[in-house]
Amino acid sequence: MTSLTIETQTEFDLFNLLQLPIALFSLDKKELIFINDSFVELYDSHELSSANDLCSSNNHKAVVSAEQELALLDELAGFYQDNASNNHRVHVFTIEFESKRRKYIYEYTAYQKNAFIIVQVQDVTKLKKSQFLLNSSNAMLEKYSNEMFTLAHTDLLTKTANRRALFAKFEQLTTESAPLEFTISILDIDYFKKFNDSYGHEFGDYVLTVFCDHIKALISPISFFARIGGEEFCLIQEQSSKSGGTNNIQNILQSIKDIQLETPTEKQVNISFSAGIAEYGKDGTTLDSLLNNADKALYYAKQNGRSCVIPFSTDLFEKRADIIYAKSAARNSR
Amino acid sequence: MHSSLFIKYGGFTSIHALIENFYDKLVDSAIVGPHFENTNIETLIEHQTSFISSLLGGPTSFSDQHLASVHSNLAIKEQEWCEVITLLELSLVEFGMEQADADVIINKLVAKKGIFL
Repeated sequence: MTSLTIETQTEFDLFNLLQLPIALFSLDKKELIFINDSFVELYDSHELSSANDLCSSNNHKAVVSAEQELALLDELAGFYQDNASNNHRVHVFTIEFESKRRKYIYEYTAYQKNAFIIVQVQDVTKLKKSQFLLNSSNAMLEKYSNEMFTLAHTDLLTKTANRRALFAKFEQLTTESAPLEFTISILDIDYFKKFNDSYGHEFGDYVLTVFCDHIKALISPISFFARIGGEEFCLIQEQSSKSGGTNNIQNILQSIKDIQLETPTEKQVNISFSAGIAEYGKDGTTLDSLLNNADKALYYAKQNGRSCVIPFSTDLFEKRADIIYAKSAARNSR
Repeated sequence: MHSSLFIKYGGFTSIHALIENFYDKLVDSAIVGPHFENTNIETLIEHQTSFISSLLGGPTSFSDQHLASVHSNLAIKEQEWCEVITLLELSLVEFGMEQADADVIINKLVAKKGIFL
């Protein structure tokens, strides 16, 4: 093991290349024989009422209070006396002081090497400040990130989930390990265009908002409701079969039909909707296929008088054809 | 064009430095300095950094209700309030804030005067 010998000022100056505050304590002289530039900067950043030169044997002078100087030298001398013959020891201690009523904490790590103690200083106060700034910035980034996520997944008018959120929800549901039972429905407000055309877009927006608020108040907490188009909405009902889901939506429909809205011309109008419903697994396993089949059922509902809920089935259009033929036969028999 | 004064003036790091200077002035003040005896100045600086950041358009920090409750026992007098506002304005100017922007902060704070007194 080579011993540490520092003989010239040039060798001392090598310590100035380090960003860490470093000091050298001579065990022979019982005083600090060198402090580097970073050490000086650390102490010079405080305005102290009384000041002593911490190290006067080289060109660098760090201005510290008498209490600080005493505390530091006492610690170092004590460290040596405790176990003078034991080389390569490490001693960590802190010294607190005040400047402008602010408390500063410096943590010193002293390493003994032969006739020297090398002292490295850490500004704990500065570390704490950095921690606060980092935490504040992280909290801000997290908050903004959440806000951006909400904005990207919410319909601005109705404050309801949007199509992007629907895709995310479906992805989340279908990647869960638990057995899946859920339905997907498309709800479409009946004669919505008439509201817009007769009473203006503001009233149309009002209808959409009332419709959404009412439905969100009625559905179960595990259901998911999203606006996917102008007056078209999607409802995912978890833990629900097609017949159960259909019943729920029929109840919602009855409740919606009781709402009376006042138009700008002070006329009272009612709203209703038509819906088609498809079940995950039986009617498709992808969002596209389920939406497609729910849409077919919705089309059937629209073609058969509106204001009703139709569960998807593969024979849906055969049934419809039967109805058309029956109507046609009835007309012909008149 | 900056999205907020908070961004324009460098975010938390710069505002923390501004508030440190502000608190140096506060503790040196003969009028309000005594209020800060036996208090943890570092914590106050952190809270004030969050508060002034929110006035500059940064993230929201404390509600008016919270501010009122923590200042209710201090019995701040009119003269002390004026001193704080003056020292803050001095700190903002020393920090290099444009006068129009400093006025925005001071006006926002003055509008909240009833919360502190």
